[in-house]
Amino acid sequence: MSQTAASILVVLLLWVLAWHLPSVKGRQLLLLLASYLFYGNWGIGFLVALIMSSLMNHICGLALRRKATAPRLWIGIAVNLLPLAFFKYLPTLLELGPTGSWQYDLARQIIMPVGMSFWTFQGLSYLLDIYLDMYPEENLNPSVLELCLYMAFWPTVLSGPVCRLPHMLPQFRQPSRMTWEDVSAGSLRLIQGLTMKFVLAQILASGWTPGEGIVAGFDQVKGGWGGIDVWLLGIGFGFLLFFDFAGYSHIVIGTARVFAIRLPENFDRPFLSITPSVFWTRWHMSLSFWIRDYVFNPLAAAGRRYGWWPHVALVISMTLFGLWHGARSTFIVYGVYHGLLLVIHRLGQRMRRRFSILRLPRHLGRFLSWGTTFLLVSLGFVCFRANSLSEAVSMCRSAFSPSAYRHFAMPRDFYFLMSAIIIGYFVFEWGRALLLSWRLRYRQAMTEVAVPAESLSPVSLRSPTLVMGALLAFFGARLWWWFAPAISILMVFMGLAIYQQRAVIAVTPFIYTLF
Amino acid sequence: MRNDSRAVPLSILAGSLGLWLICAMWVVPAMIESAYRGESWSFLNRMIGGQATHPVADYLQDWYRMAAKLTIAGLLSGLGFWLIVLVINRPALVQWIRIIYRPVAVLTLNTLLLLAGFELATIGASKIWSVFSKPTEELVGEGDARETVSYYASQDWAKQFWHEFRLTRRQRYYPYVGWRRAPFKGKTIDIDQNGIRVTPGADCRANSFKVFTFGESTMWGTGSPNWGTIPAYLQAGLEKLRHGPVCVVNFGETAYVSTQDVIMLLIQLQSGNVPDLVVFYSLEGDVYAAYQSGRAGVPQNLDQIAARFEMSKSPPTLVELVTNSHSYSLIGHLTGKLTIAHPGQGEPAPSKLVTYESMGIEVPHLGNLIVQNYVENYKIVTALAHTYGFKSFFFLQPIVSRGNKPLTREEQEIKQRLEMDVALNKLLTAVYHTLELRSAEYQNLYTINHIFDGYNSLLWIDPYHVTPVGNQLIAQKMLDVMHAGSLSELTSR
Repeated sequence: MSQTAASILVVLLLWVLAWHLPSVKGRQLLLLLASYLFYGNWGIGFLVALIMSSLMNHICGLALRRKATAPRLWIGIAVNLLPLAFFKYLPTLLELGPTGSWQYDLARQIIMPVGMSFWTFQGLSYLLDIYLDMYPEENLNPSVLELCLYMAFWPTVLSGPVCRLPHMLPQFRQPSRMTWEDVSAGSLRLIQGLTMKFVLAQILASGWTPGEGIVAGFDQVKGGWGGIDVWLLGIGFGFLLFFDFAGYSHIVIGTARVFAIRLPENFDRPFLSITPSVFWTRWHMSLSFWIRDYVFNPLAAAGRRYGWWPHVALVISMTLFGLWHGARSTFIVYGVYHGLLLVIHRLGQRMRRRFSILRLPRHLGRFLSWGTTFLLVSLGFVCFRANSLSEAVSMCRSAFSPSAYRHFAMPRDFYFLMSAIIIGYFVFEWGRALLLSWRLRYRQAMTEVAVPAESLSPVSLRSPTLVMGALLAFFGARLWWWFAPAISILMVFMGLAIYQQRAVIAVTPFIYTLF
Repeated sequence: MRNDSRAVPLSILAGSLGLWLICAMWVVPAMIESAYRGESWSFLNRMIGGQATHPVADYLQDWYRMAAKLTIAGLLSGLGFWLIVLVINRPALVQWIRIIYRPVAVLTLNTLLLLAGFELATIGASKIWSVFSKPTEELVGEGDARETVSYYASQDWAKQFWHEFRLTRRQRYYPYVGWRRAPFKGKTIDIDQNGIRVTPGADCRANSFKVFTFGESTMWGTGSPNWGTIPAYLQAGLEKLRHGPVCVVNFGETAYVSTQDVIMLLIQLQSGNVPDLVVFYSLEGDVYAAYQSGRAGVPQNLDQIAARFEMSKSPPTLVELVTNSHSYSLIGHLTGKLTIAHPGQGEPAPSKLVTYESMGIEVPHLGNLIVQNYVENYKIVTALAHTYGFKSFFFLQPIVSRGNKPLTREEQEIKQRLEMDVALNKLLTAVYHTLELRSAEYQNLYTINHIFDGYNSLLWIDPYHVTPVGNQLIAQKMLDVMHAGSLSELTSR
């Protein structure tokens, strides 16, 4: 841990240095050095694999740019997917052999380079973008240095977001322009991410009392789960994954933003989605958009003559999405499940348009749609997290068996914690939306009288909503004047508490670094 | 010109500092030593009193402490002075200070406002919480390792006992000896209005055979219900030996040293409450008090007692102010949920504690003082026994690190924990060794370190306390010794 922290510190220093270099090439070189230093921290072998993959992609890219043919593309795809298959999927297949056999021993010796799934998909997207000719030429002509930097860019190399070269290349080439706005926005994201990961995800994983959280709920229950347990574990794991991975994404996006690099978003309030289709535009967006652009769209286009083919393409795409997480039956079932959900949702929409059935009041309809989506997505998380397919089946059986609702396998604090987190999340989102709407109303009112929004002019204070909006605008414009002291107080108190309790922060690895 | 104007104050500062250091390190200490011996000027001699109770090192230590504070204050003042000179000479710096003053002032003010607001909010929240939550009594010592030794798992009274034990930790002031427990009535522990633990079956009428037992928590009965203490087993044993009422009174009290026991006896004699027999069972308390303070013949926790008496509690530090706030309690509680105990940091390292060793006091010297003090108490009690006509017996209480008992795995761990505190273990060994050698010189001083030698089952619950079974063995040994030592004459009276 201390080695990782030290390497992050060195990388940050190098980055600061890089941003003060006038030469673009020099800056890119220093950024690449920082990225390799960071990644090499996990193993020199991993770094070699990353460099090899970057060079191979560059060669394939050059070949495709000269002449974008299907065989060249397939070679490029193979260059990316074969190592991924070797490191990620082969060990699982070999482990099917008897314990002690050579296959089993070999499987134990193969260790996948951390983040390989992410940077492999970045390499693939580069080749596919050239082939599909989706972007201007100048955004797809990286030098070796630029492609290596794109593949190894240290904030994203471990767990994404999965970036696209046309989005990153102009930023690598732009002159240094760190602004206070970027530093402020990036720092806020960073703090938000750290809170989500180290507070919320940590409490959900281990429980209010250690050993009574989500992890114990899936791993340690011996006597079977009750119906409520299964739903709460599914919902709880969804939130855990969200706080963990969205927290990680906030940290990464925020860190990059401080240095004026804008990364693609990965999450956008996914639990407020009112349909499964909307959910997949809000959950792990960089990967789901990758699957949509490079798998589903080409696949659906290939069989557009048949009306049923897009549905098949959808199920195949989502199955690949599940499989991306690893060669486990639970991930495959998770992918198929979501593929089927999307298909059913599409068919339902079509039926609704055609037959005009079941017209509910708008708000009630939206609420029911949201509730159904939320529960179905949560049930999917049970499959995703279950230790085996049989465990997933057993849990789902409990969820749909009325008699199981009399049985409670988890400690009392677990139910309180889950309820508090679930209610807390929605109250937070509702509160945030309300505050934003107040601020917007205030801004509009101010625009009408042509007064700067943060001036707290008395002409604006006509209603409580506008007063609240005015206060929000005032404090929003002076965010760091109060937020910095608040964070400092919190850090001092927490540091003192950790010192006094002779404790260390319980750091669990980010879940998505395992994929 | 500018350099000259800076050089002058700097030279004055450096010169003053040098002079001050010479005075503080050599001149004043020499004057203190001289005044301590009464060889200095009369006004200086008069400034130092209490030579009888304080060594010269105490005065020097006080001086060095004060000198260090004065040096720091002087350095800070000098630095401030130098900065002022620097700023006056540089208008650009004045401008720079003007620029940063506003943000620094706003941030500082906001920090204070937020702190105050957060503190008020947490006070309010804790008040509301206390209304709705069940009041829980905060009990000191919950979860002590000795509560969970395997012996108690099979005892149906154990849980109740340890709960009551924690409730009885409330102490009251008691003249001359400092403290005794507050009255308590429980299922396993009874303490009367005088802070005396009740001995079951004690029949204290006028013609009863009166036995006073003295000692610390081992005699009081930590780890044992009323019926399982040493006095309780003595009561039962003496009832069998004597056909008539027996009244065993348990004067044992937690953290007592032998001098407090003697004073307790004096108070009884003074009030006309004369026993037929007194039993002293102590020593470890004397050693521990000396281990803490570096002095023999003082009560345990001397510093805390002295500080309370002198009302000399130093003003709280910034850290203490923060850690005493409601905000810190809340954040500390939440932080506890996000952290795990650092392995190997559960307890502070013994070497970090202030003990006789950290004061530079040698084991043989302190050990001899403890022994001397204990022996003098023995002699005082023997003289009192002669004057008042009662019998007295002194027993050196056994500890886990002495004797040849085959230790169980749990007892081995207990012993290892004691041995980890090297300073305490060294002092205990030295004192026990000396007194064991010298016990033969004193007719009624007995060592019973080997009392558990043939016993395989678990007896020790910590390095000093034993289970009721252990207490029974100790009481039986005491009865055997006393029986052999003409107790029969007394009991047949």
